[in-house]
Amino acid sequence: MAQEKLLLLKNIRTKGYAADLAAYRAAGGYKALEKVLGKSQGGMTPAQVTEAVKASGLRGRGGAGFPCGLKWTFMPADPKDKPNYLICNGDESEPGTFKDHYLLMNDPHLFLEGMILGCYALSCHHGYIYIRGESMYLIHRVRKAIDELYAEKLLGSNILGSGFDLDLTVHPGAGAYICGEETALLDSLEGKRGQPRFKPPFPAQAGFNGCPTTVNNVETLANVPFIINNGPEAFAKLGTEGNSGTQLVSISGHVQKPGVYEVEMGHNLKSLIEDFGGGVRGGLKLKAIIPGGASSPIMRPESIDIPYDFDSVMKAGSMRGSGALMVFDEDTSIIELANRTIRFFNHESCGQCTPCREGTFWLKNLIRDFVDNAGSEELMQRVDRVAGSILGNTICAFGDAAGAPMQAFGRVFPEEFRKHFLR
Amino acid sequence: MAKVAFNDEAMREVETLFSRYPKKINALLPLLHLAQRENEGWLPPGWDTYLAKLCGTTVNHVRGVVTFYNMFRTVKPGRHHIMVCNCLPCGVTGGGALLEHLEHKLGIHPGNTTEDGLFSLEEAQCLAACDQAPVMMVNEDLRKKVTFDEVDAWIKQTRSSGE
Amino acid sequence: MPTFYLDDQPVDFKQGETLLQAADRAGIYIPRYCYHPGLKITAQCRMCLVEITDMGNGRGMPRLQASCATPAAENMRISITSEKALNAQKTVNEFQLVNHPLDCPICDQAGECDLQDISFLYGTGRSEMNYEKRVSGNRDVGTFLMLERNRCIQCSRCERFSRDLVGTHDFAVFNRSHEVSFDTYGDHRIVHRFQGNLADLCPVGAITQRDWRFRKRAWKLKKTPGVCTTCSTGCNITLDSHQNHIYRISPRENLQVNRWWLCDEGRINFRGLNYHPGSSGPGAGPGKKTPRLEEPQLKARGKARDGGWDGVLEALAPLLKEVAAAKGSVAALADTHATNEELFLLKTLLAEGFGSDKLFFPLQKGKAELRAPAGLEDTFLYSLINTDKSPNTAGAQALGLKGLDGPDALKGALGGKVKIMLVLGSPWEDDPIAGDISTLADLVIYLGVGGNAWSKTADVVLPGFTHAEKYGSFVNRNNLVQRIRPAISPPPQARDQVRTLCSLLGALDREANHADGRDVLAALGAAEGPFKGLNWEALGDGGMPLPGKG
Repeated sequence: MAQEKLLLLKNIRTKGYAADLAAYRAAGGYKALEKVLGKSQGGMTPAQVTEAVKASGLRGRGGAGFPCGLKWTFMPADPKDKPNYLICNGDESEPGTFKDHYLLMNDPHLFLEGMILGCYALSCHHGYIYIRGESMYLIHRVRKAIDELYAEKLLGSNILGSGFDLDLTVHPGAGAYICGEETALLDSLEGKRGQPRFKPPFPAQAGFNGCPTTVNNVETLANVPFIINNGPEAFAKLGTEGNSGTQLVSISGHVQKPGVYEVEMGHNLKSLIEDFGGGVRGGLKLKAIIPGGASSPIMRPESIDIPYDFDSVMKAGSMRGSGALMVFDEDTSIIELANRTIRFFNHESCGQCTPCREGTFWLKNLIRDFVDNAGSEELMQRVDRVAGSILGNTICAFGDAAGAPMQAFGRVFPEEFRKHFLR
Repeated sequence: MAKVAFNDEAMREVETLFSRYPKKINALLPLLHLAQRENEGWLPPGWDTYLAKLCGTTVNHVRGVVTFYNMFRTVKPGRHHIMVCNCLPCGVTGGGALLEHLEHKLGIHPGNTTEDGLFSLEEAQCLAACDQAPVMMVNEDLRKKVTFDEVDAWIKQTRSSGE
Repeated sequence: MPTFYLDDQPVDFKQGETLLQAADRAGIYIPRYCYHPGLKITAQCRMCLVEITDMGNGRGMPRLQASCATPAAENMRISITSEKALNAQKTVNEFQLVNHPLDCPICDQAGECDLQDISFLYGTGRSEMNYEKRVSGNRDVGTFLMLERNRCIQCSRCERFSRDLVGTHDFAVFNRSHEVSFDTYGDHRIVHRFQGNLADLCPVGAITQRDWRFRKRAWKLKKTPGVCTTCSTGCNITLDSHQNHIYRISPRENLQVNRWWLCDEGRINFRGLNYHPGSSGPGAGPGKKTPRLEEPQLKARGKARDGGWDGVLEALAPLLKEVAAAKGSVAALADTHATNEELFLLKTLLAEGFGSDKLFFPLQKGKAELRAPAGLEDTFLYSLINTDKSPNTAGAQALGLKGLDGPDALKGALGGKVKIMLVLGSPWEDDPIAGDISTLADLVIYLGVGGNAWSKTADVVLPGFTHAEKYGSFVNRNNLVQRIRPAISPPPQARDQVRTLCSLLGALDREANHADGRDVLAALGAAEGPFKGLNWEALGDGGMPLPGKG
């Protein structure tokens, strides 16, 4: 029986862990911060922290899998005219994803330590944590943890006598999936409609209020304390080639034990469902999985005996995305999944780019025909064509996120579409 | 009609919010949340203009923001605003059924409020608790693994107490 | 200049220019809806997608890029005709049409619609979208505008104009996804003075001018370049006419003057330019109907004598000669709606015919009429409307006419009753002086186009042409000389002021035989003086700086 590999969930898996500052410290928390900022061990320069993260091979856990250390090097090392910003993306609105909520709710200080280290590495003196507005309970939770840090002088001015000043602010979203896209998130943080910006300029050149900005996912930052404490080699040793470390996987759908599990990068996908998810519930057979949130293409059971990491899942024709594994049993209607998916994407499109705004509207109507058992071969091809026309033609990746899964439903399960033809 | 302005206590929160951002306009989203909290969960007429002045922006900027985000309302919601997650994993593991059940039970479709003003219903897109399906959010309270019996009992109790 | 290659054709670019901007300058058209040179770039319509096969470093880009927002780079290679690019243009345009009502037969934009033109060039010609389209109805959004929301293709030009250039932000974007709407909020109606530009910017027939709706099919219009006469800015305009009727005035791009914009006063100006016998004339705005002067008149003791041009001029000649021979005092008052050519001939008439330099014009102090809202970055639009409501004050000054602050100053400057007073245009037409002029002059000769107090009191009335009917030039407040030309033909009995002035010179045996304003300007340009070196052809449609002043 496969076991979890615990880096991030170590405290959470400890019985009776209180998740407050005292408990986190008792469990060895804020040692990495001490190592970097404190005088006892000589400290580390921001460049050294960035170098360590780069060497660890940590890739962004938000979905795109961009190397985190490399992203950090795009920022000005010595900000003069404009301040640098680190923004944490805790918007987590992708259907199927709940690992950041889980982590923040149950061990906020692990993330906060990573956030503080990240801010130090980027010479940022005011970091923002963007959390979706629906999750007020989570916002209160993180704000409380931040208050603890201010009280203990781990935030504010001259942290640990290092001369480094830092403020952290939790910013509530207000119900818009698109704000998980980093430039839409920046607009939202600036007090605007959350509409993605075209690039260039990239956020590292002109981000929050036009200042150099890096946006990182919650889980990504939560990995930083481990890397500092144990060295980048210890992190790089875990996982597969080019996909180092552990990962939080959100398993949901028709499994016996849905939840968040931590495994090494490259853990077998099938084992995730069977060993951790407990297999399909009710003794039913597995029909399909969606491996990386609603924006990843659906897969058949026969193609899931693969390592679960960014590169392997991509090779198998889908995406690891944010590690949201959705499992569906044999009674599931693929058309229903397609319908829910396109309704979601149509509802959440920001409406800026023509292909996405009109394409998701059109696709919603097309899928509706199948739901009403009025499909046809022609309509099936049209779904494929319209979805394909959105792909790659929009400002942000939302177009791909909506187009790719909609193409996949018909390509992977054509027989399911045919069941809904007009007879 | 109620006064369109924050009271002194809320105004102190506003000042704190402004102090956390480089520009006043950056605080618009938290300010809108605050305004909704002070106004029973919605933005009565006039608040868009008030907040625009407060942040130094145009009224239509505020209105554009308000109409962009799901959570900002220009129509008064019920005392208990219910959001039921009906997207991918939740939808197929009980969310869809729960929403339908609530529609029958309350006699309203999503987007509407019951006549007594007690309940309003909204179909939500992912509440980030997919492992706890079916889930619904009542105001700020996330309820997990909701059963029909639980819901029925709660509705009954709320109706009889009238609040 | 650095160069990139568009379908193997070299295109020069300036540092910071985007691909589409450089292509525009090179005369290569890349289709677009949301891009407009006067507005911030948003890259949202996706119509201008191009394939970048080489970023200038040997590597291509996997995705198509919006050429309006992608900075050009040295040795970049892009294509707008590759299979990928063509396919993107086809599909993006198809998406544009998904919710568009295709009501072209009754749409006022038809014939000058970007969506029509681009669909014709890049569209598939058939539709596979067989569901109900989004319907949102029409709205009254401004004193000048109507909004047909169904036609909107969400390019956001209107919002950007209203937010970034006008600053009122009354046209804004609301909602999201396919429900995104560009509109005013609630029942708000726009009242600012630049509304017409929103209709120009709208690439489809969503925003239309009330004045223009259901009046004429756009493809029937004859387009005549002109210059706006409503203030001293001299905005470049196009007079849109059909069958001798002007239907609309639109701005014409001139980066030195008005860029792409025109205020609503300038647009409304067309109303007074159309000639209907006995009905309306210049200055005949709403609520102010004055007839167009149609016949030359010579009045003797209150009675009009009808003799046509020949009769009037014949009767007038001895009167002029008599005064000239007696060295009687003669003065002229011209308003600065007159062209340089007219003012020059008037000056010549006074100087050579009567030895007089008493040539005056009402001086309007010019300054920006509007103040931009606080915090607006680009305040250019607000500099357009000037308090000097005439197009040629600078021309009058260059020609040495004396500007007077008001009628009292004129009385002083005349220094007693004069024998002959020539009045050109409608100076101080609402002032009592026009009625009292007989106390200041024995004989008043009036050259004008519209009936007013001057034409009533003058002894001689000589009907002329409006600026939409003649050749000529104006000098704007920045000393730019700009030309005008006829868009429509004048009433049969009216005569070009230039010709009339030539006739008066002829009556005094001075050689003057100019066919129209172009001839006069050629003479002006050939002689020493402020216009030296200029001629009508050389001015071009963009104008030239006043020599020695520019």
